Amino acid sequence: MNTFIQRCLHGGVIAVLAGLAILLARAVLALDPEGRGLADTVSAAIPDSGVLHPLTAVLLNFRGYDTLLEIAVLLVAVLAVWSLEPPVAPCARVLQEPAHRNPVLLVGLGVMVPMIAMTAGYFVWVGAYRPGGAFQGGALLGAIGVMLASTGVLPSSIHRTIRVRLAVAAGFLVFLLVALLTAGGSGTLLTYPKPWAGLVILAIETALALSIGVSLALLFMAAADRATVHREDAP
Amino acid sequence: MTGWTLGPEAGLVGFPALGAVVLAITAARGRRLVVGLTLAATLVALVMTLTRLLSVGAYEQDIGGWGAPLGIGWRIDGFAVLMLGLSVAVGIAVSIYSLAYFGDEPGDRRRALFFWPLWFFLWSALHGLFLSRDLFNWYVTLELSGLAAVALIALSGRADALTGSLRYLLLALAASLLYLLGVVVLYSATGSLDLAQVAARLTPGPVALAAILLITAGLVVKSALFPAHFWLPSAHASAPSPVSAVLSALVVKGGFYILARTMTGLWPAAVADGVLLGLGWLGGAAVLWGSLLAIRQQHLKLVIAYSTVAQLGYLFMAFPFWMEGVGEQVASRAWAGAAYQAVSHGLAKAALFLAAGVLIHARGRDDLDALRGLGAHLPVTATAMALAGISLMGIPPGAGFLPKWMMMTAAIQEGRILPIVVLITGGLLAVGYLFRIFRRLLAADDVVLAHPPPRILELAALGLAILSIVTGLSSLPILSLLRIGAPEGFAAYLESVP
Repeated sequence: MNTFIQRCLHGGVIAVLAGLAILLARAVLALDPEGRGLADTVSAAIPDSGVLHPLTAVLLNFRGYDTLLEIAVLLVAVLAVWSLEPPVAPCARVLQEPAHRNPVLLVGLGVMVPMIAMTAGYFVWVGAYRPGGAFQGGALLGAIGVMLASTGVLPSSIHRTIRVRLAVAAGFLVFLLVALLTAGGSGTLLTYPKPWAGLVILAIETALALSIGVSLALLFMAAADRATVHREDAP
Repeated sequence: MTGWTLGPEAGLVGFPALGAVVLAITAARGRRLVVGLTLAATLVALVMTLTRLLSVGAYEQDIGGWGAPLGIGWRIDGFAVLMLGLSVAVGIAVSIYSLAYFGDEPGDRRRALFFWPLWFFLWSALHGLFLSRDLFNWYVTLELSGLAAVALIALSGRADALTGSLRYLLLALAASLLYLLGVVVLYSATGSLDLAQVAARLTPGPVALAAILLITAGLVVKSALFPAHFWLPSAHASAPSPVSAVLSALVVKGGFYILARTMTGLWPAAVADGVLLGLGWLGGAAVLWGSLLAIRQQHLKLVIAYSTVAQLGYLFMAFPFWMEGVGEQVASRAWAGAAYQAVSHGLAKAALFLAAGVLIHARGRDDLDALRGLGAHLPVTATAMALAGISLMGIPPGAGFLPKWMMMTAAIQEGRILPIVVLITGGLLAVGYLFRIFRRLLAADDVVLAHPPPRILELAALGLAILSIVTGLSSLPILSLLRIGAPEGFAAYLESVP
């Protein structure tokens, strides 16, 4: 009986979703294939945005408020993962077994890490002109964290000292302070003074890239911690 | 109405967010000070927003000064400020309660460490949601509030809380994506994300229908309307009590708010009668089904959580009155009734969950029979429960009476029988499930309290319960607040209010 009801429910959900899919297909076919959305409006406003690349202009200026909230989402994600840790976390350092410390690996890291860090900085800088920006740069910084943690150069579980917490929150904090300062200066939230717009965006992007990188690396390490704990539980 | 200098409404989003990030960095140090400053600043921002609304009427705010369609806009009108008022009232009570609720035991210390930043981010996101008039920005606020809510549910650390929060996470993600898909369709069709511009450019047809249905489907899951309510009871009942209060009073209202804004904003051209009628049917079914299940529960917080399923149904019973051919008088009465119900349920439900937290703390158990005789030991909490219960049952002078009465008169004017039957039955069933609680509370059994609760917990619950009665007594100010900037086609009834 129970499975019967369950099947009926599943059938109902599938029917509703199928109906929505058919309607969506009809709607998509009815849309204007030449439609350009806001592309022209964005291009026209680029000169006022302080940057030359439309993506950066939309993310950091026109719709900067959305990005501010998205960075808060990332910060909440880190807090959420941290809040789930087992009450007593015996963080065995499986990832740091001496086997990982072989000389070739260490030399390789010594070459790669500075290169990646430089590329990350380049991406943040170049975001004003071409594809790039805080998210790409941050992803590369995160990759550095993953490499260092999985080769045992960084301890796999970082103590959440105030410096670490500050690095995670820096992007949001800087962005929010800019919002509050511009509010005091220009009268509307997140309206950058025009001659400084490019510089303000670069400052925000730099802080964002740092926080995104640190957050991604910490999310990876939290997962690694968890895996370690599980392995210890096993007989 | 651009050209206004920065409105105080920005503080409603900014101050809780600032408090959240400061508490995330400083952890336990200076917590009371930061929390106190955040609460005070947010309250001041609300009062100033209300003052400005009363002096200049409904106004708009372009963030970044770009204006739609390029930038994001806020719209501050009576409906928005009413919901913000609810959020600030519940938020302050819950925060004061939580300072005492998360004590000094080791587990509690860890919970408090994460509760504060997560809760303040949730608060900030809700205020952003109530202020916004931008379809994509609503998606972002839904994501932020949803993720914070998931983490807050899991904070209690119980196995059922983890299950409940994971289920909520998966469903909320799916629901957000359905909503986002609908927004993408609207954007492709109109080239704007601003609700007013979309409404002006959208023409009825398959595109509008698909978009409305996708948005509705997503938001129905978000606001736990029957039959998509199944995630709510386990999530709301297993969370720590202050979190339950916030979830039931505020978070589920977010989905309803966006849906009501979208439907009234795109009304009448791009809204299909069938969708409105369907929402009404589901709302009615939610009232009956939620109440019946509430009567069958054996645990205090599950009774209250199923009552949320039922009370949310009333909100959606207003939608069929917006169908074509219904007079503006009736449509606006139903609209105002739904907005009023959102506030009255929020206050009463938050008070109930906070009081439930006190009782569970005192007894160390949460089954209904554990309540026997507690009324004599904790008269303040019992009073809070009784006052909140009066509001939920829809008995005057509780705040739950008038909204249901407004919907009832709308149904009578339209000559519809079914809504009347549901409204009366729902009220009776509410008496049924609430008296199962009261009967035990007031029993003459002699019990020993496991932990006498801190006084402040009781007072926070009582404060909200009294506020829910005050809200019921001050219907005129509330209706005249709703009149400010009421959506086109939904003002006639409010105009007739003195």
